[in-house]
Order: sequence, then C-alpha cells, then structure tokens
Amino acid sequence: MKDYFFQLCELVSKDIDDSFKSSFFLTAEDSQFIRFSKGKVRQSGIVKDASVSILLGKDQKELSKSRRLTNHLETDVKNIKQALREMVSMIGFIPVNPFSIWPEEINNTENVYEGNLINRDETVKKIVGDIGNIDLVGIYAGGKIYRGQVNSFGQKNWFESTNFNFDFSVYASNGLADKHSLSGECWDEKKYQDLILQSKDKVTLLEEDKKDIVAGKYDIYFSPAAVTDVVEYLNYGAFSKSNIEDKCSSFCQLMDKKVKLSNKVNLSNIVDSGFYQPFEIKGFVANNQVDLVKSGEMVGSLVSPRSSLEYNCKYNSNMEYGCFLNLDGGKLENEKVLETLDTGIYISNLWYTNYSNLFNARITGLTRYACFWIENGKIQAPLNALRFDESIFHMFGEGLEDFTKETFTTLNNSTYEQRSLGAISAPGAIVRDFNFCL
Amino acid sequence: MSFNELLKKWSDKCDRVSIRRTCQKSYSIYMKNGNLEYCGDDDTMGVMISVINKSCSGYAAVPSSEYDVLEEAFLNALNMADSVGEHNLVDSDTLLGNPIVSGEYTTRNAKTWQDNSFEYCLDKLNCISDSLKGANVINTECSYKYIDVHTEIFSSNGGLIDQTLIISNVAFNVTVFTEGREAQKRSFTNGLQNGLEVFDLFPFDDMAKELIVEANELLIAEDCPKGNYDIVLLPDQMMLQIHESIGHPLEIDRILGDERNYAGSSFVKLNDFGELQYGSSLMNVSFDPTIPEQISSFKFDDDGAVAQKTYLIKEGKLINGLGGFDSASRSQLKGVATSRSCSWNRQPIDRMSNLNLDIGDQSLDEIISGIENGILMKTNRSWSIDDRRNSFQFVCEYGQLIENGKLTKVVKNPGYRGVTNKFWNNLTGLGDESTFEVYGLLNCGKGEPNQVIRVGHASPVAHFKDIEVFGGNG
Repeated sequence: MKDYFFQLCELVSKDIDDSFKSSFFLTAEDSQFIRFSKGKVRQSGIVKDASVSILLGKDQKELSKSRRLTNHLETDVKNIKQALREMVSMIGFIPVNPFSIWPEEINNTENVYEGNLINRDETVKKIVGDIGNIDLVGIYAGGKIYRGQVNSFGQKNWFESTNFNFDFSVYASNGLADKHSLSGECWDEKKYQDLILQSKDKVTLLEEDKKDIVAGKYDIYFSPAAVTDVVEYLNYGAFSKSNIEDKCSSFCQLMDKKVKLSNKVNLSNIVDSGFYQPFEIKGFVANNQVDLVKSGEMVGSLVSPRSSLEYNCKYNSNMEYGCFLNLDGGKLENEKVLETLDTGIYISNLWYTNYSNLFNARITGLTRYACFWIENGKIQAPLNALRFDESIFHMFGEGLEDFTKETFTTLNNSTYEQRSLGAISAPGAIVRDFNFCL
Repeated sequence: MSFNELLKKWSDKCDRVSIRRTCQKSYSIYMKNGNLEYCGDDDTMGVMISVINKSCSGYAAVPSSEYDVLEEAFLNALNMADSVGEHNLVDSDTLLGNPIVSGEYTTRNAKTWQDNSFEYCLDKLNCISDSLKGANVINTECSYKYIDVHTEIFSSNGGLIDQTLIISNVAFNVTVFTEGREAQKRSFTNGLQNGLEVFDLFPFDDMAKELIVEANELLIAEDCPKGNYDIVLLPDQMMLQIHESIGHPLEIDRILGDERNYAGSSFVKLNDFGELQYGSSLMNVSFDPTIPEQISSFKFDDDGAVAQKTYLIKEGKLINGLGGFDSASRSQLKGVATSRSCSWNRQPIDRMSNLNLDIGDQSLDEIISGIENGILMKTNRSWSIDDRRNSFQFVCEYGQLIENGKLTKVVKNPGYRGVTNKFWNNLTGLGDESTFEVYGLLNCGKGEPNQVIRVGHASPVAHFKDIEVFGGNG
C-alpha cells in the first residue's frame, strides 16, 4: 500500500502548477469484522477500503476533495487528476480563508507496527469454538490500518498498524453483563481464555438478586473502563483551544482558574505513542506531549495549526482532540479498592454520557453492564442501571479520594466509517458523594 | 463482465449471491464567523458482495468494480460464510425465500448539483452568516451538505433495484456571551430529501435573526425551575423524543439481542407486540417512507424489500416493530422494509428510517391556554437514555414558562427526565396540522461495525402532563 500510494502521488503531482500548495492524505484498511450474538456468529465479512483526501491551496484559499482508490493505478491516477482539474478551475471564485495555514518545515516520518493476528479463516473457531454455552455478544475487528501523507513541499509520512479489537460482553440471564475490550497487536490465546473464565465467575455474581437503591449521593468506585468513558467524553471538545475561546468547552471555568480539580489529577496528550499517526492531513507533525491538567490546574489546551493562526499561539496538536490521553494513576493499590470504598457502588462502565450543563461541566449518564452494591468492603448485590447527574469539577475535584496505582490502556474501538486509531490510558477512581438522580 | 454475468458465474459455487453497488457524491461547505473554513466534495463508490452458502452468510466489500477485485471479494465472502459453520446464529436459508423484487425510485423534483452550485451555495450561506451578526455574538457557524446516493442491488434470484436519493442538510448556530453570564447557544439543523431548492423553501435568514434574539433572551434568563410540570415540546424536540424513546426500542434486532454489546437492547419484549399500551390513546406512530421530502423516504430497503406506510403504534397500543426481512423472520413479527446500510462497506441492519407521530386537533394557542403551570421547550441540546431505552434525560436550548394559560418568562437550561412507557402515557394533547413539522438528521449511530445513517421524524407539538423538570443544577 505504501509504494502504491507514494507512486500515485508522484504521478498525479506532476501536473500541479508550482503556484499551488497541495497535499494528499491516505486512509485505508484491510479489516475482518465478525459480529457475535448469543455465543454464535451474527455477521461475518471482510472490508477493504482506501481513500485519498486531496487539498489544494493558493493565495490563502483552500479546497478539498476525497476520492476512493480502486487499487488500479491507471484508474486512480485518472480520477485524481480529474479532481485536481476541477479544483484548479474552482479555486478562483472561492473566498479567502484567513486561517489557512500550511507547514513550513519538512518532517518525514515512518512508523510501521507489525502484529500477529488470528488467521482469518480461524477467527470464528478461536473465539467461540471453545467457550461453552455462554451468552457472548460483541465484535471482533482486526487487520491493517494505513495512513499516508505527501505534500507539495516534498514531505512524506507513513503510518501502518496491524491490530485487533475484540469488544465483547458476556450476559447473565437477568440482562446484566460482564464487559471487556481485548485489544492489541498480537492475539493472546491464554489471555482470552482467562478473560472468559473471569467472565463466567462474574456472571455468577450478576445472577444474584438485584438490590434497589434510591436517589441521592453515594461513594463510588469507578473502574478504569468507567474513568476512560468519562475522559473519552471530555475529549469531545473540553481540551480544544477553539472551543475554549468560543465558550463551548466544559473546561472554560477551569481554564479561567475559577475552579480547580484535585491535585491528584494529571492529564496529558501523547502523540508519539504508536496509537495514532503523528502527522495530519497537510503534513504538520505535532508535539510529542501536551500537558493539559497538572496537579488539578488546566495548564494547556490542544491547539491545531489553524487555531494557532487565529489565536496567535503555537500549535501543539494535529487536531483539537486527544489522540492518546493519559490520566496518571494514584496511590491506591488494586487489592485495596473495595476496602477503601467500604460502602457504596462499584461501577464497571458508563453509558450515554452527555452534558446536562456544559458551563458547570455537569454530566449525566447511566451505569451499564456489571455494577454492584458494596458493603463493608464486600460485594453484596448487583444493581440495575442507575442515572447520575454530577459535575466533573466534583468528580475530579473535592469528591476524588484517589486513583488506583495501576492504569489500563484501551484502544479506540470506534468503527464509524472505518476502524479508528487512538487510545486512552486511565486508572480506577474512588469518588465520594457522587449524585444519582435515578 | 457485467454484474449479472458475474452473478451467473458465482451462483454455481453458493446458494445465493448478491451485489450491492453504492455511488455517493457529497458536497460540503462550512463557514465559521463568516469565513469559509471548508469547501469540498467526497466521491465514493464501492461494492458489497453477500453470499449465502450451506445456511451461513458472509460478505466482502471493496471500493472497486474491476473484475479481478470483485472475483477476489467473492472468494473472501464465500470463505467468511464457510468459516462460520456450526457457529451460525441465523439460518440464512430462511432468506432464500424472500421475494424477487425489481424496480426504481428517485427523489422527486430535486434541483440537482451543477458545475456552478458551489458558488450558489456559498452565496446562500454568506447571507445566513450575515444574518447571524448581532449583539453579544462571539461565534457563529453555518453549513450545507448535499448528498446524492445511488444504490443498485443485483441478486442471483433475478431481482434488480435501482434507487437514487438526493439529500440536503442545512445547519447554523450562534453563541452569545457577556462577562459574568453563561454563554448561550441557539441552533437550527434539518436534513430533508431536497436538492438545492431547499434554500427557496425556508426563510433561513429570518430564522437566523430569530436565533440571535432568543440567544440574547437566554443570556439574561433565570434557570428553569425544578419540580413536576406540564411540558409542551415543539417538533424540533419531539424529533429527538420520538427517535430515542420510540424508534430505538422498537428496532427488532435490539429486541433480539444483537445490539446488546454496543447500542443496547430494549425494554420491549417480543410478546409485548399486540399487548403493550405504549402510550395514551392519542398516540399513533407510523413507519412512513411516503412523505416525498422526508429524509428517509424510499421505495426499497437495502435487502430489496418494498417499503410502505405501516402503523407501529395505534391508539397507544404497540402493534409492530422496526425490522427488515431477516428480523421479521427471526421474530415472527410482520416488520417493515427498513433493513439499511450506511454505505457500500457495511451490511444492512434494522434502522428506523422515517418514524412519525400523527397530528391531533389543537392549535398551539389552544394547548397553551389549557395549561395552568407548565414549560414550553424547544431544540434539543443534550440527550441521554439507558441501554434499554427506558430512563431518559433531555435538555433543551430554550424554555418558556406557561402560567395561567399564557407564555411568560424565558428560562435557560430547561431539562426533563422520565421513563418511556409512563412518559408516553402522560401524552395529553397533540397539535393540529398547523404545528406539524418534518425533521431529519444525518447521524443516527448504531451497529457493529458502527454505522451512522439518515433518519426522519415528523411530529406536531405535543403536551405531556406531570413531568419531572429541572434547570442547570440537575
């Protein structure tokens, strides 16, 4: 794919006049998707996909087109040349974009992450061949993901990753479930079988009689997956420079120093993690690490090249969205979690979080999958889904008792349009007086 | 080699094979604070080959119509079907019985994209952007997206479908701010099955000016009160209410459990159909692919089934679900033709398409005049509902108190929460034709692998009694 893309770019670039700036950005995948329900296969298939985004700029004007690649060089060259001709004829009449910016430095990068996945003909057998009669539901998505970029300044970037994400849950008969996201570059048979055994034990606990609780404030243990859900939600805009300037970020008050989080909160975005390509569509290559929250204070935001021009500051990110957000762990040992919580709620996962009040960083959402009532440091009973409505300023502020020492990294499992890149690393957290409205 | 010749060649190697080719062209313009930030188009074409063999199914999708690429894709699809073997959930032989369907459909009277259309649309968006200038404005956005999607389905059983849909989505918003107050945003978005004539059908410039007025009202407004009130929801909020608390729970694949790992299941059980009083007797809800301008009107779904208007809830009673041929067969429900994919690289699954609430017989004034203590809410800002689509909490952009039959003070952060079945049984009044509006959205997410798809909802104004309401502090 790399040679094909670079050759294609060379062939189509020949006809572009020197007065234009141009960039070609490839997104491609060769993926196997297998969907499971009730421990059986619901849908099974292969998707091969490749498309090129073409950017053309001149005199602070900019146009964009995207074309699918057929993997037939002659056809693809013809299609992209046609697109370029259309762009050249259009660019005259479009207005100037004052925030159009192109890289001035050449930063060539190449990152290839090889993997060892299950042979595609055997994926079904490996996953459900030996699990017994359990109600497993979920999706295996695995294969190669490619990103490439070439621009008119002579820059070339390549990123290739072979990985998988098996996102699944094992259901109890009462509708509760144990959820896992097994992901990585190599399929580890033993790790998978161990997870299945753990799930079978957890499902036995979930089959117990459920306890009902009433609305009010409770002490909570959020598992790393649940903390990841919160960080992932915040990632939709809270750290964005333009959102902060436009008063559309939930962290405006934090940025303005009107509120402060617990000094245990340290959050950063790390580009050079291998989870995401280090370059963007025009060829900007971002900083390796941007500290966002340090000892509870907001010390930075994600500034895209475009925002750097509008707000007159240095860009530090390829986009205003964290590609690998890392929330530091704390001092709490994993084995001490229930004892430290004492009495309260163990939350494995959250669901459908959304702001109920953006200004106060107040979010609502529900618990999902395996949540338990804990008394005196011991699991007492599973719980139905509960609705919460609480501010992040409390959850990661005065309500935060501690994070677990151990953190977990979860690959982005989104497959909208294509398999996604990126990851979040987060610890578990004990939070006091967290509000449930049920 | 033509697709029909390929199907003939491949049909000796499997029990059924079909080809679905999708060509989609989309044109997008996005402006921020009057500056053109994005102007571009996306041209995509791809083919999905679906195979049924020995009761199992498999698929392969490629962005090409080249013979050698399709030949490899067919073998991949066949391998995927064969590798399922004894671990098959659904006996795909049941699908061999679906009827042979051929036909064509095209969006009616759409003004289609031409060489100079970018200039035309830029001019229209510039006008909207200009209308969004005003007091306390710190940010404005406006965008237009035009989509032309052409789907052809060729089946080895002889069926041939050819369908072209033209979609337009216009969106704009304004944020106002003054020091010491919460920033406030008002927005508009709608997706319809229209071409460029959409700019002639709506007074977007006037609507933009109205948003600034309302945003500034919110900037100095008090928080929405907390307590139990009657609420009146305008159609742009009813769209979301119908979508989340009727559409998703009635998707049969959710009820069957296929979506439990991601989108969730449903509080509705298969034996609720024909039995459950979903809402009050005022409630009549239909799957309706027949309103020409509604975003998901079509003649055929992506399994090739013929779509027609069908009631799912009649006088409050649940009578049918949202599921295509496959789900209908598995559930033994009647279902509707709504098995759809977002593009060539995803398999069809049960979607809601157009799901509409019938009108009642009251004008908005009549509804308001009958309420002693209530709150009118419009335009969704935040939504959250549990994985069984039962417990929900929604917040709107704009609220206004109703006191002694009259609209009075504007309130900010108006939110309400409830439980689906109880909420719909509290439906007390429905607006007449004068209050009925058609909405559509581009981004309903569901499925594994994930898919976003276009869905439409049309509704009159609706009045619900005794609903838990809250403001900015939850």
